[in-house]
Amino acid sequence: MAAYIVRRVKLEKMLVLENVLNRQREKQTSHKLIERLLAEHDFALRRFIRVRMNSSVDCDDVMQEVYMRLSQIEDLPAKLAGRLDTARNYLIQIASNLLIDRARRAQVRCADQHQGEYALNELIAIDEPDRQLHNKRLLHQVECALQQIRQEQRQAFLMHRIDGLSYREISDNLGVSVSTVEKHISAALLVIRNSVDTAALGSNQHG
Amino acid sequence: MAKLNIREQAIAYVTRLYSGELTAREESQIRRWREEQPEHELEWQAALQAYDFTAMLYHPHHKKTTKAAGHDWLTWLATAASVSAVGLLVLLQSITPTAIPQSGHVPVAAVATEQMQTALQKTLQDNEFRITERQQPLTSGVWHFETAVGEVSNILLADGSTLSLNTQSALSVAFSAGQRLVTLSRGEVFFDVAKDANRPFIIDTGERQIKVIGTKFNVRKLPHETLLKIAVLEGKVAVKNLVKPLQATEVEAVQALLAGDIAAFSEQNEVIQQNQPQQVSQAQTWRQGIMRFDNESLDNVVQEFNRYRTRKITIIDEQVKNYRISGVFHLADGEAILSALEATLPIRVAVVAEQINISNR
Repeated sequence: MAAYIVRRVKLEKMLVLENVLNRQREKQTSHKLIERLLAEHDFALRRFIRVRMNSSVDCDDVMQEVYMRLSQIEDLPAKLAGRLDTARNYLIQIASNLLIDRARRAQVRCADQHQGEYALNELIAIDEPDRQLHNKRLLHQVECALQQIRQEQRQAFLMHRIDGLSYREISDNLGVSVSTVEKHISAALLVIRNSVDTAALGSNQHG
Repeated sequence: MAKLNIREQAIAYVTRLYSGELTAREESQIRRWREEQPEHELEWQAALQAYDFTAMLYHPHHKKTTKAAGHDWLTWLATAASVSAVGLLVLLQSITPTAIPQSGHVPVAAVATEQMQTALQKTLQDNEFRITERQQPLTSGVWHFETAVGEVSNILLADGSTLSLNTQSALSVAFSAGQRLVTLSRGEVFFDVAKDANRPFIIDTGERQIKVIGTKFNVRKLPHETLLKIAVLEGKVAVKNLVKPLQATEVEAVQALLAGDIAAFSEQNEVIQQNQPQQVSQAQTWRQGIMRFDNESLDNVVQEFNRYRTRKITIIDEQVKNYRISGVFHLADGEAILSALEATLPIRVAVVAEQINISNR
Protein backbone atom coordinates (compact mmCIF):
# COMPACT_ATOMS: atom_id res chain seq x y z
CA MET A 1 0.00 0.00 0.00
CA ALA A 2 2.76 2.39 0.97
CA ALA A 3 4.58 1.55 -2.23
CA TYR A 4 1.42 2.29 -4.16
CA ILE A 5 1.07 5.71 -2.52
CA VAL A 6 4.68 6.54 -3.26
CA ARG A 7 4.20 5.57 -6.88
CA ARG A 8 1.04 7.58 -7.06
CA VAL A 9 2.79 10.68 -5.67
CA LYS A 10 5.64 10.18 -8.13
CA LEU A 11 3.20 9.90 -10.98
CA GLU A 12 1.43 13.09 -9.96
CA LYS A 13 4.73 14.91 -9.68
CA MET A 14 5.65 13.70 -13.13
CA LEU A 15 2.37 14.92 -14.51
CA VAL A 16 2.86 18.34 -12.96
CA LEU A 17 6.37 18.46 -14.37
CA GLU A 18 5.15 17.48 -17.78
CA ASN A 19 2.55 20.22 -17.71
CA VAL A 20 5.18 22.78 -16.81
CA LEU A 21 7.46 21.50 -19.55
CA ASN A 22 4.67 21.60 -22.08
CA ARG A 23 3.89 25.17 -21.19
CA GLN A 24 7.54 26.10 -21.50
CA ARG A 25 7.72 24.44 -24.90
CA GLU A 26 4.64 26.32 -26.03
CA LYS A 27 6.23 29.55 -24.91
CA GLN A 28 9.40 28.69 -26.76
CA THR A 29 7.60 27.98 -30.04
CA SER A 30 5.69 31.20 -29.57
CA HIS A 31 8.89 33.21 -28.96
CA LYS A 32 10.57 31.61 -31.91
CA LEU A 33 7.60 32.48 -34.04
CA ILE A 34 7.59 36.09 -32.85
CA GLU A 35 11.29 36.47 -33.52
CA ARG A 36 10.87 34.97 -36.93
CA LEU A 37 7.91 37.20 -37.76
CA LEU A 38 9.71 40.32 -36.65
CA ALA A 39 12.89 39.39 -38.50
CA GLU A 40 10.94 38.64 -41.63
CA HIS A 41 8.89 41.83 -41.64
CA ASP A 42 11.46 44.09 -39.97
CA PHE A 43 11.95 46.21 -43.06
CA ALA A 44 8.28 46.71 -43.82
CA LEU A 45 7.41 47.43 -40.19
CA ARG A 46 10.13 50.03 -39.79
CA ARG A 47 9.06 51.70 -43.01
CA PHE A 48 5.50 51.79 -41.76
CA ILE A 49 6.58 53.34 -38.45
CA ARG A 50 8.74 55.96 -40.20
CA VAL A 51 6.01 57.02 -42.60
CA ARG A 52 3.32 57.07 -39.96
CA MET A 53 5.38 58.95 -37.35
CA ASN A 54 7.49 61.63 -39.15
CA SER A 55 10.74 59.98 -38.06
CA SER A 56 10.48 61.72 -34.66
CA VAL A 57 9.97 58.39 -32.98
CA ASP A 58 12.56 55.77 -32.14
CA CYS A 59 11.87 52.79 -34.40
CA ASP A 60 13.66 50.32 -32.12
CA ASP A 61 11.48 51.41 -29.21
CA VAL A 62 8.30 50.73 -31.13
CA MET A 63 9.62 47.41 -32.43
CA GLN A 64 10.34 46.40 -28.84
CA GLU A 65 6.78 47.32 -27.89
CA VAL A 66 5.44 45.28 -30.78
CA TYR A 67 7.46 42.35 -29.49
CA MET A 68 6.03 42.78 -26.00
CA ARG A 69 2.49 43.02 -27.32
CA LEU A 70 2.94 39.87 -29.41
CA SER A 71 4.35 37.87 -26.51
CA GLN A 72 1.29 38.74 -24.42
CA ILE A 73 -0.99 37.05 -26.93
CA GLU A 74 -1.88 33.52 -25.98
CA ASP A 75 -1.39 30.68 -28.46
CA LEU A 76 -0.10 32.94 -31.15
CA PRO A 77 1.15 30.07 -33.33
CA ALA A 78 -2.30 28.52 -33.41
CA LYS A 79 -3.88 31.84 -34.18
CA LEU A 80 -1.55 32.57 -37.05
CA ALA A 81 -1.46 29.05 -38.46
CA GLY A 82 -2.32 28.93 -42.12
CA ARG A 83 -2.03 32.66 -42.30
CA LEU A 84 1.65 33.26 -41.89
CA ASP A 85 2.01 34.78 -45.33
CA THR A 86 -0.36 37.58 -44.38
CA ALA A 87 0.98 38.07 -40.87
CA ARG A 88 2.51 41.37 -41.95
CA ASN A 89 -0.88 43.03 -42.00
CA TYR A 90 -1.42 41.86 -38.45
CA LEU A 91 1.92 43.24 -37.27
CA ILE A 92 1.21 46.56 -38.93
CA GLN A 93 -2.12 46.88 -37.17
CA ILE A 94 -0.42 46.19 -33.84
CA ALA A 95 2.26 48.81 -34.57
CA SER A 96 -0.43 51.24 -35.72
CA ASN A 97 -2.35 50.91 -32.46
CA LEU A 98 0.81 51.36 -30.43
CA LEU A 99 1.65 54.52 -32.34
CA ILE A 100 -1.83 55.94 -31.80
CA ASP A 101 -1.54 55.23 -28.06
CA ARG A 102 1.82 56.98 -27.98
CA ALA A 103 0.50 60.01 -29.79
CA ARG A 104 -2.40 60.24 -27.39
CA ARG A 105 -0.15 60.01 -24.35
CA ALA A 106 2.12 62.68 -25.83
CA GLN A 107 -0.85 64.97 -26.34
CA VAL A 108 -1.92 64.64 -22.72
CA ARG A 109 1.65 65.36 -21.59
CA CYS A 110 1.74 68.36 -23.89
CA ALA A 111 -1.47 69.74 -22.48
CA ASP A 112 -0.05 69.18 -19.04
CA GLN A 113 3.11 71.20 -19.70
CA HIS A 114 1.49 74.03 -21.57
CA GLN A 115 -1.60 74.66 -19.61
CA GLY A 116 -0.69 73.43 -16.21
CA GLU A 117 -2.33 70.85 -14.08
CA TYR A 118 -5.65 72.61 -13.96
CA ALA A 119 -6.18 72.15 -17.70
CA LEU A 120 -5.18 68.52 -17.50
CA ASN A 121 -7.70 67.85 -14.79
CA GLU A 122 -10.33 69.52 -16.83
CA LEU A 123 -9.40 67.37 -19.80
CA ILE A 124 -9.75 64.23 -17.76
CA ALA A 125 -12.99 65.46 -16.26
CA ILE A 126 -14.72 65.74 -19.62
CA ASP A 127 -17.94 63.96 -19.09
CA GLU A 128 -17.62 60.39 -20.26
CA PRO A 129 -21.19 60.14 -21.64
CA ASP A 130 -20.60 63.32 -23.60
CA ARG A 131 -17.65 61.88 -25.41
CA GLN A 132 -19.46 58.64 -26.04
CA LEU A 133 -22.32 60.56 -27.55
CA HIS A 134 -19.93 62.50 -29.71
CA ASN A 135 -18.29 59.31 -30.96
CA LYS A 136 -21.62 57.66 -31.50
CA ARG A 137 -22.75 60.53 -33.68
CA LEU A 138 -19.53 60.35 -35.68
CA LEU A 139 -19.83 56.64 -36.07
CA HIS A 140 -23.35 57.04 -37.35
CA GLN A 141 -22.10 59.57 -39.89
CA VAL A 142 -19.41 57.14 -41.02
CA GLU A 143 -21.88 54.31 -41.37
CA CYS A 144 -24.23 56.49 -43.42
CA ALA A 145 -21.30 57.47 -45.60
CA LEU A 146 -20.47 53.82 -46.20
CA GLN A 147 -23.97 53.34 -47.57
CA GLN A 148 -23.16 55.72 -50.44
CA ILE A 149 -20.59 53.47 -52.05
CA ARG A 150 -20.94 50.24 -53.99
CA GLN A 151 -21.46 47.09 -52.01
CA GLU A 152 -18.17 45.44 -52.99
CA GLN A 153 -16.28 48.58 -52.02
CA ARG A 154 -17.95 48.59 -48.63
CA GLN A 155 -17.37 44.88 -48.24
CA ALA A 156 -13.65 45.15 -49.00
CA PHE A 157 -13.29 47.98 -46.52
CA LEU A 158 -15.16 46.18 -43.73
CA MET A 159 -13.17 43.02 -44.31
CA HIS A 160 -10.02 45.05 -43.85
CA ARG A 161 -11.07 47.16 -40.88
CA ILE A 162 -13.38 44.83 -38.95
CA ASP A 163 -11.89 41.48 -39.76
CA GLY A 164 -8.30 42.64 -40.06
CA LEU A 165 -7.75 40.92 -43.39
CA SER A 166 -4.87 41.89 -45.64
CA TYR A 167 -5.55 43.21 -49.13
CA ARG A 168 -4.28 39.92 -50.51
CA GLU A 169 -6.77 37.91 -48.46
CA ILE A 170 -9.58 40.23 -49.48
CA SER A 171 -8.56 39.83 -53.11
CA ASP A 172 -8.76 36.06 -52.78
CA ASN A 173 -12.10 36.23 -51.04
CA LEU A 174 -13.73 38.63 -53.47
CA GLY A 175 -12.04 37.23 -56.54
CA VAL A 176 -10.67 40.60 -57.65
CA SER A 177 -7.11 41.86 -58.04
CA VAL A 178 -5.20 43.45 -55.17
CA SER A 179 -5.14 46.80 -56.95
CA THR A 180 -8.93 46.71 -57.21
CA VAL A 181 -9.07 46.02 -53.47
CA GLU A 182 -6.92 49.11 -52.91
CA LYS A 183 -9.28 51.16 -55.06
CA HIS A 184 -12.25 49.89 -53.04
CA ILE A 185 -10.57 50.81 -49.77
CA SER A 186 -9.62 54.26 -51.03
CA ALA A 187 -13.19 54.83 -52.21
CA ALA A 188 -14.51 53.94 -48.76
CA LEU A 189 -11.95 56.12 -47.00
CA LEU A 190 -12.82 59.02 -49.27
CA VAL A 191 -16.54 59.02 -48.43
CA ILE A 192 -15.68 58.67 -44.76
CA ARG A 193 -13.22 61.53 -44.97
CA ASN A 194 -15.80 63.66 -46.78
CA SER A 195 -18.53 62.89 -44.29
CA VAL A 196 -16.74 64.08 -41.18
CA ASP A 197 -14.82 67.25 -40.70
CA THR A 198 -11.37 67.03 -39.25
CA ALA A 199 -12.16 69.05 -36.17
CA ALA A 200 -14.69 66.47 -35.08
CA LEU A 201 -12.21 63.63 -35.54
CA GLY A 202 -9.51 65.68 -33.88
CA SER A 203 -11.48 66.18 -30.71
CA ASN A 204 -11.99 62.44 -30.61
CA GLN A 205 -8.25 61.97 -30.73
CA HIS A 206 -7.86 64.11 -27.63
CA GLY A 207 -10.31 61.95 -25.78
CA MET B 1 -4.25 57.32 -64.26
CA ALA B 2 -6.65 60.13 -63.64
CA LYS B 3 -5.23 63.09 -61.79
CA LEU B 4 -6.12 62.97 -58.13
CA ASN B 5 -6.99 66.00 -56.06
CA ILE B 6 -5.16 66.60 -52.81
CA ARG B 7 -7.65 64.73 -50.64
CA GLU B 8 -7.77 61.73 -52.96
CA GLN B 9 -3.98 61.64 -53.13
CA ALA B 10 -3.67 61.66 -49.34
CA ILE B 11 -6.16 58.81 -49.11
CA ALA B 12 -4.43 56.81 -51.83
CA TYR B 13 -1.18 57.13 -49.85
CA VAL B 14 -2.84 56.00 -46.62
CA THR B 15 -4.31 53.00 -48.43
CA ARG B 16 -0.86 52.13 -49.69
CA LEU B 17 0.66 52.61 -46.24
CA TYR B 18 -1.70 50.05 -44.76
CA SER B 19 -1.07 47.53 -47.51
CA GLY B 20 2.22 46.82 -45.73
CA GLU B 21 3.82 46.71 -49.16
CA LEU B 22 5.04 50.29 -49.35
CA THR B 23 8.21 50.57 -51.44
CA ALA B 24 11.22 52.75 -50.67
CA ARG B 25 10.24 54.91 -53.61
CA GLU B 26 6.75 55.44 -52.27
CA GLU B 27 8.15 56.27 -48.84
CA SER B 28 10.19 59.16 -50.21
CA GLN B 29 7.34 60.15 -52.53
CA ILE B 30 5.01 60.50 -49.56
CA ARG B 31 7.59 62.46 -47.60
CA ARG B 32 8.18 64.90 -50.46
CA TRP B 33 4.49 65.29 -51.16
CA ARG B 34 3.75 66.12 -47.52
CA GLU B 35 6.48 68.75 -47.44
CA GLU B 36 5.36 70.35 -50.69
CA GLN B 37 2.41 72.29 -49.27
CA PRO B 38 0.99 72.68 -45.77
CA GLU B 39 -2.36 71.59 -47.17
CA HIS B 40 -0.87 68.26 -48.22
CA GLU B 41 0.25 67.62 -44.67
CA LEU B 42 -3.17 68.56 -43.28
CA GLU B 43 -4.97 66.21 -45.66
CA TRP B 44 -2.50 63.43 -44.88
CA GLN B 45 -3.16 63.76 -41.15
CA ALA B 46 -6.91 63.95 -41.72
CA ALA B 47 -6.84 60.84 -43.91
CA LEU B 48 -4.93 58.96 -41.20
CA GLN B 49 -7.47 60.09 -38.60
CA ALA B 50 -10.33 58.92 -40.78
CA TYR B 51 -8.63 55.53 -41.12
CA ASP B 52 -7.98 55.32 -37.37
CA PHE B 53 -11.50 56.29 -36.48
CA THR B 54 -12.92 53.35 -38.43
CA ALA B 55 -11.32 51.03 -35.85
CA MET B 56 -14.53 51.82 -33.97
CA LEU B 57 -16.64 50.21 -36.65
CA TYR B 58 -18.05 47.14 -35.15
CA HIS B 59 -20.47 44.55 -36.26
CA PRO B 60 -22.30 42.74 -33.48
CA HIS B 61 -23.50 39.83 -35.65
CA HIS B 62 -20.02 39.33 -36.92
CA LYS B 63 -18.57 39.00 -33.43
CA LYS B 64 -21.32 36.65 -32.39
CA THR B 65 -21.00 34.30 -35.31
CA THR B 66 -17.25 34.07 -35.14
CA LYS B 67 -17.45 33.18 -31.48
CA ALA B 68 -20.14 30.58 -31.90
CA ALA B 69 -19.32 29.04 -35.22
CA GLY B 70 -15.58 29.44 -35.27
CA HIS B 71 -14.72 30.01 -38.88
CA ASP B 72 -18.04 30.55 -40.45
CA TRP B 73 -16.93 33.09 -42.96
CA LEU B 74 -20.00 32.71 -45.11
CA THR B 75 -22.33 33.77 -42.33
CA TRP B 76 -20.30 36.87 -41.78
CA LEU B 77 -20.20 37.78 -45.42
CA ALA B 78 -23.93 37.46 -45.60
CA THR B 79 -24.35 39.83 -42.66
CA ALA B 80 -21.65 42.20 -43.83
CA ALA B 81 -23.30 42.41 -47.21
CA SER B 82 -26.52 43.52 -45.64
CA VAL B 83 -24.87 45.70 -43.04
CA SER B 84 -26.85 48.81 -42.37
CA ALA B 85 -26.27 51.70 -40.04
CA VAL B 86 -25.62 49.96 -36.76
CA GLY B 87 -24.31 52.25 -34.10
CA LEU B 88 -22.46 50.28 -31.51
CA LEU B 89 -19.47 51.63 -29.79
CA VAL B 90 -16.34 49.86 -28.76
CA LEU B 91 -13.23 51.54 -27.52
CA LEU B 92 -10.19 51.66 -29.70
CA GLN B 93 -8.11 48.70 -28.63
CA SER B 94 -5.23 46.71 -29.88
CA ILE B 95 -6.49 44.25 -32.41
CA THR B 96 -6.50 40.79 -30.98
CA PRO B 97 -6.68 37.98 -33.47
CA THR B 98 -10.31 37.21 -34.05
CA ALA B 99 -11.32 33.97 -35.62
CA ILE B 100 -9.37 33.68 -38.81
CA PRO B 101 -11.27 32.67 -41.89
CA GLN B 102 -9.64 29.55 -43.16
CA SER B 103 -11.33 29.44 -46.49
CA GLY B 104 -13.32 31.69 -48.72
CA HIS B 105 -16.87 30.87 -49.61
CA VAL B 106 -17.68 33.71 -51.93
CA PRO B 107 -19.29 32.21 -54.98
CA VAL B 108 -17.59 32.74 -58.31
CA ALA B 109 -18.87 35.43 -60.60
CA ALA B 110 -21.24 33.25 -62.53
CA VAL B 111 -24.22 32.33 -60.42
CA ALA B 112 -26.13 29.19 -61.18
CA THR B 113 -29.85 29.27 -61.78
CA GLU B 114 -32.24 27.71 -59.30
CA GLN B 115 -32.81 24.68 -61.50
CA MET B 116 -29.19 23.78 -61.74
CA GLN B 117 -28.88 24.20 -58.02
CA THR B 118 -31.50 21.56 -57.38
CA ALA B 119 -30.09 19.22 -60.01
CA LEU B 120 -26.77 19.40 -58.28
CA GLN B 121 -28.14 19.52 -54.78
CA LYS B 122 -27.82 15.82 -54.17
CA THR B 123 -24.14 15.91 -54.94
CA LEU B 124 -23.51 18.78 -52.57
CA GLN B 125 -22.44 16.49 -49.77
CA ASP B 126 -19.64 15.62 -52.13
CA ASN B 127 -17.95 18.85 -51.12
CA GLU B 128 -15.00 17.39 -49.32
CA PHE B 129 -12.71 20.35 -49.21
CA ARG B 130 -11.50 21.12 -45.70
CA ILE B 131 -8.51 22.66 -43.95
CA THR B 132 -7.12 20.88 -40.91
CA GLU B 133 -4.40 21.74 -38.39
CA ARG B 134 -1.78 19.38 -37.02
CA GLN B 135 1.33 19.59 -34.95
CA GLN B 136 4.49 17.54 -34.88
CA PRO B 137 4.97 16.11 -31.38
CA LEU B 138 8.09 17.42 -29.71
CA THR B 139 9.50 13.98 -29.00
CA SER B 140 12.12 12.80 -31.44
CA GLY B 141 11.52 10.12 -34.01
CA VAL B 142 10.16 9.89 -37.51
CA TRP B 143 6.75 11.41 -38.00
CA HIS B 144 4.54 10.61 -40.90
CA PHE B 145 1.87 12.96 -42.23
CA GLU B 146 -0.71 12.22 -44.87
CA THR B 147 -3.75 14.03 -46.27
CA ALA B 148 -6.95 12.54 -47.63
CA VAL B 149 -8.69 13.59 -50.85
CA GLY B 150 -9.84 17.19 -50.52
CA GLU B 151 -7.90 17.85 -47.35
CA VAL B 152 -5.39 20.66 -46.90
CA SER B 153 -3.47 20.36 -43.65
CA ASN B 154 -1.30 22.95 -41.92
CA ILE B 155 1.37 21.31 -39.83
CA LEU B 156 3.44 23.10 -37.23
CA LEU B 157 6.82 21.41 -36.89
CA ALA B 158 8.88 21.23 -33.72
CA ASP B 159 11.39 23.81 -35.01
CA GLY B 160 8.68 26.41 -35.71
CA SER B 161 8.55 25.71 -39.45
CA THR B 162 5.13 25.24 -40.96
CA LEU B 163 4.16 22.94 -43.81
CA SER B 164 0.91 23.01 -45.70
CA LEU B 165 0.06 19.68 -47.24
CA ASN B 166 -2.23 19.74 -50.22
CA THR B 167 -4.76 17.02 -51.03
CA GLN B 168 -3.50 13.41 -51.25
CA SER B 169 0.01 14.18 -50.12
CA ALA B 170 2.35 12.23 -47.91
CA LEU B 171 5.63 12.98 -46.24
CA SER B 172 7.70 12.03 -43.24
CA VAL B 173 9.69 14.28 -40.95
CA ALA B 174 12.85 13.30 -39.08
CA PHE B 175 14.73 15.94 -37.14
CA SER B 176 18.17 15.30 -35.69
CA ALA B 177 20.88 17.48 -34.19
CA GLY B 178 22.57 17.95 -37.56
CA GLN B 179 19.71 18.27 -40.01
CA ARG B 180 15.98 18.50 -40.55
CA LEU B 181 14.95 15.87 -43.06
CA VAL B 182 11.62 15.70 -44.85
CA THR B 183 10.91 12.87 -47.28
CA LEU B 184 8.18 13.74 -49.73
CA SER B 185 6.53 10.61 -51.11
CA ARG B 186 3.79 12.28 -53.11
CA GLY B 187 1.71 15.39 -53.57
CA GLU B 188 2.21 19.07 -53.03
CA VAL B 189 3.61 20.91 -50.04
CA PHE B 190 4.19 24.53 -49.16
CA PHE B 191 7.22 24.90 -46.93
CA ASP B 192 7.71 27.84 -44.61
CA VAL B 193 11.03 26.92 -43.09
CA ALA B 194 12.27 28.49 -39.87
CA LYS B 195 15.83 29.71 -40.14
CA ASP B 196 18.43 27.54 -38.46
CA ALA B 197 21.90 27.95 -39.93
CA ASN B 198 23.25 24.98 -37.99
CA ARG B 199 20.57 22.58 -39.10
CA PRO B 200 19.85 22.67 -42.83
CA PHE B 201 16.36 21.71 -43.90
CA ILE B 202 16.50 18.94 -46.50
CA ILE B 203 13.66 17.64 -48.64
CA ASP B 204 14.15 14.34 -50.39
CA THR B 205 11.77 13.78 -53.31
CA GLY B 206 13.41 10.60 -54.51
CA GLU B 207 14.94 12.08 -57.64
CA ARG B 208 16.07 15.37 -56.19
CA GLN B 209 17.29 16.71 -52.95
CA ILE B 210 16.23 20.21 -51.96
CA LYS B 211 18.29 21.99 -49.37
CA VAL B 212 17.42 25.25 -47.64
CA ILE B 213 18.19 27.18 -44.49
CA GLY B 214 15.14 29.36 -44.01
CA THR B 215 12.72 30.17 -46.80
CA LYS B 216 9.22 29.79 -48.24
CA PHE B 217 8.48 27.70 -51.29
CA ASN B 218 6.06 25.29 -52.91
CA VAL B 219 6.98 21.78 -54.08
CA ARG B 220 4.69 19.74 -56.30
CA LYS B 221 5.19 16.13 -57.30
CA LEU B 222 2.04 14.59 -58.72
CA PRO B 223 1.62 11.07 -60.04
CA HIS B 224 0.02 12.18 -63.32
CA GLU B 225 2.68 14.79 -63.99
CA THR B 226 6.17 13.69 -64.83
CA LEU B 227 7.65 16.90 -63.56
CA LEU B 228 8.71 17.99 -60.13
CA LYS B 229 7.77 21.66 -59.77
CA ILE B 230 9.24 24.13 -57.32
CA ALA B 231 8.11 27.73 -56.84
CA VAL B 232 10.16 29.92 -54.50
CA LEU B 233 8.37 32.68 -52.60
CA GLU B 234 11.21 33.84 -50.40
CA GLY B 235 14.86 33.06 -49.81
CA LYS B 236 17.10 30.66 -51.66
CA VAL B 237 16.72 27.00 -52.48
CA ALA B 238 19.39 24.55 -53.68
CA VAL B 239 18.30 21.55 -55.76
CA LYS B 240 20.53 18.54 -56.33
CA ASN B 241 19.91 15.77 -58.83
CA LEU B 242 20.11 12.42 -57.07
CA VAL B 243 19.39 10.21 -60.09
CA LYS B 244 21.48 11.51 -62.93
CA PRO B 245 25.07 10.29 -62.63
CA LEU B 246 27.47 13.19 -62.44
CA GLN B 247 29.37 13.67 -65.69
CA ALA B 248 33.02 14.53 -65.55
CA THR B 249 32.44 17.63 -67.64
CA GLU B 250 29.68 18.94 -65.44
CA VAL B 251 30.35 21.56 -62.85
CA GLU B 252 26.78 22.43 -61.96
CA ALA B 253 25.55 19.56 -59.87
CA VAL B 254 23.45 21.84 -57.75
CA GLN B 255 20.88 24.24 -59.11
CA ALA B 256 20.19 27.36 -57.10
CA LEU B 257 16.74 28.90 -57.15
CA LEU B 258 15.91 32.38 -55.89
CA ALA B 259 12.72 34.09 -54.78
CA GLY B 260 10.35 34.49 -57.73
CA ASP B 261 11.77 31.48 -59.57
CA ILE B 262 9.64 28.65 -60.84
CA ALA B 263 11.42 25.46 -61.83
CA ALA B 264 10.26 22.24 -63.42
CA PHE B 265 12.48 19.18 -63.20
CA SER B 266 12.18 16.01 -65.22
CA GLU B 267 14.49 13.08 -64.69
CA GLN B 268 17.12 14.52 -66.97
CA ASN B 269 16.24 18.13 -67.61
CA GLU B 270 15.33 21.26 -65.81
CA VAL B 271 13.53 24.38 -66.93
CA ILE B 272 13.76 27.48 -64.81
CA GLN B 273 11.68 30.61 -65.24
CA GLN B 274 13.11 33.50 -63.31
CA ASN B 275 11.39 36.48 -61.78
CA GLN B 276 7.77 35.28 -61.85
CA PRO B 277 6.47 36.66 -58.53
CA GLN B 278 2.86 36.60 -59.73
CA GLN B 279 3.01 32.94 -60.72
CA VAL B 280 4.86 32.02 -57.56
CA SER B 281 2.23 33.55 -55.33
CA GLN B 282 -0.48 31.84 -57.37
CA ALA B 283 1.26 28.50 -56.95
CA GLN B 284 0.28 28.50 -53.29
CA THR B 285 -3.28 29.85 -53.20
CA TRP B 286 -4.46 26.24 -52.78
CA ARG B 287 -3.52 26.69 -49.12
CA GLN B 288 -6.66 28.78 -48.73
CA GLY B 289 -8.62 26.51 -51.04
CA ILE B 290 -8.43 29.00 -53.85
CA MET B 291 -7.66 28.28 -57.49
CA ARG B 292 -6.88 30.95 -59.99
CA PHE B 293 -6.89 30.18 -63.67
CA ASP B 294 -5.78 32.50 -66.38
CA ASN B 295 -6.92 31.43 -69.83
CA GLU B 296 -6.49 27.79 -68.88
CA SER B 297 -7.92 24.86 -70.85
CA LEU B 298 -10.95 23.21 -69.27
CA ASP B 299 -9.04 19.94 -69.40
CA ASN B 300 -6.34 21.25 -67.06
CA VAL B 301 -8.88 22.95 -64.83
CA VAL B 302 -10.85 19.73 -64.41
CA GLN B 303 -7.69 17.78 -63.69
CA GLU B 304 -6.88 20.25 -60.93
CA PHE B 305 -10.38 19.99 -59.49
CA ASN B 306 -10.25 16.19 -59.59
CA ARG B 307 -7.28 16.17 -57.27
CA TYR B 308 -9.65 17.29 -54.51
CA ARG B 309 -12.58 15.06 -55.40
CA THR B 310 -13.53 11.45 -54.81
CA ARG B 311 -16.29 11.73 -57.40
CA LYS B 312 -14.24 12.58 -60.45
CA ILE B 313 -15.28 14.78 -63.34
CA THR B 314 -14.84 13.43 -66.86
CA ILE B 315 -14.90 15.47 -70.05
CA ILE B 316 -16.56 13.43 -72.76
CA ASP B 317 -16.18 15.64 -75.84
CA GLU B 318 -12.67 16.36 -77.05
CA GLN B 319 -13.72 19.81 -78.19
CA VAL B 320 -14.83 20.74 -74.69
CA LYS B 321 -11.39 19.98 -73.31
CA ASN B 322 -10.00 22.94 -75.22
CA TYR B 323 -12.43 25.56 -73.97
CA ARG B 324 -10.50 28.28 -72.18
CA ILE B 325 -11.49 29.80 -68.88
CA SER B 326 -10.17 32.38 -66.45
CA GLY B 327 -11.36 32.95 -62.94
CA VAL B 328 -11.02 32.42 -59.25
CA PHE B 329 -12.59 29.30 -57.79
CA HIS B 330 -13.13 28.43 -54.16
CA LEU B 331 -12.86 24.74 -53.49
CA ALA B 332 -15.10 25.07 -50.47
CA ASP B 333 -17.92 25.96 -52.85
CA GLY B 334 -18.07 22.31 -53.80
CA GLU B 335 -20.45 21.63 -56.64
CA ALA B 336 -21.20 25.31 -57.14
CA ILE B 337 -18.02 25.35 -59.20
CA LEU B 338 -19.72 23.03 -61.68
CA SER B 339 -22.83 25.17 -61.89
CA ALA B 340 -20.63 28.19 -62.50
CA LEU B 341 -18.86 26.41 -65.34
CA GLU B 342 -22.17 25.34 -66.81
CA ALA B 343 -23.45 28.88 -66.67
CA THR B 344 -20.44 30.38 -68.44
CA LEU B 345 -19.50 27.75 -71.03
CA PRO B 346 -21.67 26.01 -73.65
CA ILE B 347 -21.45 22.75 -71.75
CA ARG B 348 -23.73 20.36 -69.96
CA VAL B 349 -22.94 18.79 -66.60
CA ALA B 350 -24.57 15.43 -66.00
CA VAL B 351 -24.44 13.35 -62.85
CA VAL B 352 -24.31 9.66 -63.73
CA ALA B 353 -24.02 7.33 -60.76
CA GLU B 354 -20.58 7.96 -59.27
CA GLN B 355 -19.45 9.94 -62.28
CA ILE B 356 -19.87 13.55 -63.30
CA ASN B 357 -19.71 14.01 -67.05
CA ILE B 358 -19.18 17.21 -68.98
CA SER B 359 -20.26 17.31 -72.61
CA ASN B 360 -21.14 19.81 -75.33
CA ARG B 361 -24.50 21.45 -74.92
